[in-house]
Amino acid sequence: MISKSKKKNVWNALIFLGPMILLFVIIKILPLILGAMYSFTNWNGISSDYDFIGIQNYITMFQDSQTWTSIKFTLLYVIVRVVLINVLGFFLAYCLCKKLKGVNFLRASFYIPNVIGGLILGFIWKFIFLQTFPQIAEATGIKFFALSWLGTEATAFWGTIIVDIWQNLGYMMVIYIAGLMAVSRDYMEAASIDGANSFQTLRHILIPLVMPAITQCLFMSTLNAFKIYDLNVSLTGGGPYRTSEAFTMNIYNTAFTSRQMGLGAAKSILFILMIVVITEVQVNLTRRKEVQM
Amino acid sequence: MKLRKVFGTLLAAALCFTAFTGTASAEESSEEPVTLTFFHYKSEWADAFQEVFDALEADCNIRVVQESASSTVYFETLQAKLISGEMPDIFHMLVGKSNFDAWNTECADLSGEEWVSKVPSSIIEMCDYDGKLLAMPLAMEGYSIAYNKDLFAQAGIEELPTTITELREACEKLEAAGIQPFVNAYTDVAHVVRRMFTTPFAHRENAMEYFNDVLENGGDFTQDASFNAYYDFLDLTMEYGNEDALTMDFNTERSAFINGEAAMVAGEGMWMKSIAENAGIDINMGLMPILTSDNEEIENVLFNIPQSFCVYNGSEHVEEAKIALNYMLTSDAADKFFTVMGAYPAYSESSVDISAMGDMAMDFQSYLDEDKTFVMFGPSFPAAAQEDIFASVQKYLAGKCTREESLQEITDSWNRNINQ
Repeated sequence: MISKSKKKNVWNALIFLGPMILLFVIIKILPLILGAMYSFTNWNGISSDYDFIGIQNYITMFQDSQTWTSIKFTLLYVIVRVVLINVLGFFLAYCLCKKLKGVNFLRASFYIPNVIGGLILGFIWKFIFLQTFPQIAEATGIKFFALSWLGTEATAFWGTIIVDIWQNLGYMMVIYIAGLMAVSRDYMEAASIDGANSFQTLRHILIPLVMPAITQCLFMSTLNAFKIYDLNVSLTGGGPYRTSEAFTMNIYNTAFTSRQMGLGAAKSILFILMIVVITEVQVNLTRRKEVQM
Repeated sequence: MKLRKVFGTLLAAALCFTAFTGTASAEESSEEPVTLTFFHYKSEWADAFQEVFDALEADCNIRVVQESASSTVYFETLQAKLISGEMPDIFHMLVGKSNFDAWNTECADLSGEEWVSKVPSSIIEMCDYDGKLLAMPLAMEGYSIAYNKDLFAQAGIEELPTTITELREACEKLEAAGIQPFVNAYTDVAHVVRRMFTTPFAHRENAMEYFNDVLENGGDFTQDASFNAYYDFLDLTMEYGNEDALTMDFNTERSAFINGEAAMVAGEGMWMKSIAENAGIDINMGLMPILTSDNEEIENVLFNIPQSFCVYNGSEHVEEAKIALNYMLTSDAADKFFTVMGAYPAYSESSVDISAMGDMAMDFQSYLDEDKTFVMFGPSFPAAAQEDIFASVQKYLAGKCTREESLQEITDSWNRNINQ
């Protein structure tokens, strides 16, 4: 009797999961294995013949100073973006959970930039930085607008940060709002009866209780910060002099523009390892802070 | 529930419709001509191409279906087509060693074709790879410095400068007349490297020999007079140009030039005419050499981009594709194409009236007749070095490194990448 139902279970699993697993293998696993294989070749991406060259690509990769420039840019970008977007997102959500007038309108307004695609957004903001900012500077004399936006290393970095946060803040905010709304009012009331002020309530009651949302937001924002590409391409294009070239763009340029598919594959393997290790550590750290109810 | 029913009926109807149209086209196809696919990155030529292809279908029963992509993603798209088995029968090529290194295995040999002897030998030389002729040049686009004749006249410049000293004098005259001499947009690798960086390789005695040698054996550009002179020219354009050269994109640069906001733009050429016409602007433009030193003799050259096409050797219709290429270059329909698009034919026996194409084409013709043009060298540069050259030049222009450091970086990248 038991074995029969087990058999049935296997069949059920095959029927319901099989097609998805097959697709997953074809679309995700196979390219990953092929990519790992190409990283040991000198394939140019076009020719039908290539040679296996061992770990030469990995050696070349670490000797290339541009690889390090783009890794440094990406890591710094991830740190700054993750911190800023989560602090601001939480702050906005906290404010917009209060009883304010027009709260729904405000929530919608902060969310809307998220609907626009990154590529278009990049071009729009490029126009704002290069054409509108100088005019504002001329009219008001504010130095911030008179900077050479996107023309120096620092302004290219912060320009990208500004646009990225402007775009994705609303998304983080929505998740935090959902987290905050799920916290029962009982805890807050209990805290206020015990004489806790609003900062103490926030620090000791609210934040521990929305920790699952924080874990999720940190994970997502870290992952998305690593994967930035469309905004990078359309806003700075990696310039000036390849200082704002994120690792994703560096991989693309290596594989396609420089026609070194093997080297590009090696870099993408490193990229995968970087993301897996960093997000894994981060999820583990924040998970531990979550409280079980 | 009712809505779902209506929706279902509509879906079923749509399905029947597509099924019927599907069978209808399948029946027709038995009488249809050979169909070739054609992939290019000159979307502004698409309509004019279509007229040539319509004539081709009427004359030779060969139908060509065209598709175009932006030049910035063209080669990546072509690569995707190759890998997915959808390689076009005829495809656009930017001729040069580096591009042929990558694509030569996919190109059919065009050596025996009739047109070969009637195309300028300087271009044929660049389309030759290991003794095979891999591409057919269709139209030439001359470039170097595009200048605004009216603004030059306004500043009282009667004779074109022929040395960098004279160019500086011209800039001063322009500034005195309240005209911005140069507009620069050093933000695009195609412009800064592939087009403009041809200059230091070409401005010397026996330039072709030198270039082939450094492509083969590498070189040292740091102490080279022509490279240093080229940086003098870059300095000059920055001195007499806009401040935001490192953030301005090429569309803004082009529109500034055709709107008369600056008198000169380097690295641009004959394509500016169709851009101005499309924008409905009437501008009086000429073409002059990039001037980097006071050696008039070696400075007096123009550069040339031959828009060329290859036949895919894995195509089922290689012979038909060759016929189509020949037709695109030599037929009456082709002449009409060149005239309408203002494209300079790469075919010496073409009956197109060059003088009707405007002053830039005439300027280019005079250099071509004296054999003082070079095919753009950029597409021959090692692929992996192109981005490095771009970054090093930008870094220099931004004042982040010295000329020696910039040239040293370029030399290192060049020598590291030539034999990849």
